[in-house]
Amino acid sequence: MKNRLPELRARQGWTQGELAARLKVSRQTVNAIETERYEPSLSLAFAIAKIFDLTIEDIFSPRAR
Amino acid sequence: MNPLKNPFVRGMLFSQWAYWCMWAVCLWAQLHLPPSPLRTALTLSPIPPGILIVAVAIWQYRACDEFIRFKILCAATTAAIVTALWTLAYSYLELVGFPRLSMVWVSNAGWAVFVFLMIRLMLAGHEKPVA
Repeated sequence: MKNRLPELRARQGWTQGELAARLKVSRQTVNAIETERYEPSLSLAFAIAKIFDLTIEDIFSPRAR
Repeated sequence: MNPLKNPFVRGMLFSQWAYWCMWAVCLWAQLHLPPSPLRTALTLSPIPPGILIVAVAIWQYRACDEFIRFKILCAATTAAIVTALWTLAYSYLELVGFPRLSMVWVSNAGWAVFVFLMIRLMLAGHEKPVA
């Protein structure tokens, strides 16, 4: 699944570690999501959306087949 | 951050150190002591640190987030598959004359794979982060 996490994080001036701290997950998790190696659970996706004050669809989109 | 300051890393390293020390004691007892209560006790000595390893793993797992839990489960699955393949292959090799091996060698193969993957995961967590 594609995501806009790097762009949204850069807009806030946060490092991966800072975003991870706000989400209460490890930096590896943020890195894995940003590099599309891992798709977050629904609860984590909602938490990410809340942090950026956006909807899940604004952040995540299915990868084109 | 110094990985040795991480309590989970310290717990994992200590439990692993204790286990392999007792494993060496067990091996020495098997090779050099005659059958006796002391030999039995020393042979069973890796069990308590083995339980400690499991306890540290459970403690660590409960403190992990979803991605790390996913990686731990992947490592456990990989170790189980390696152990299954190893036991499958060697069971047939024993039938054609290879020496009978103790289950210790089977479990150590699985443990080695799992520990390798866990150390790799921990080291990945200490890589320089992307800004």
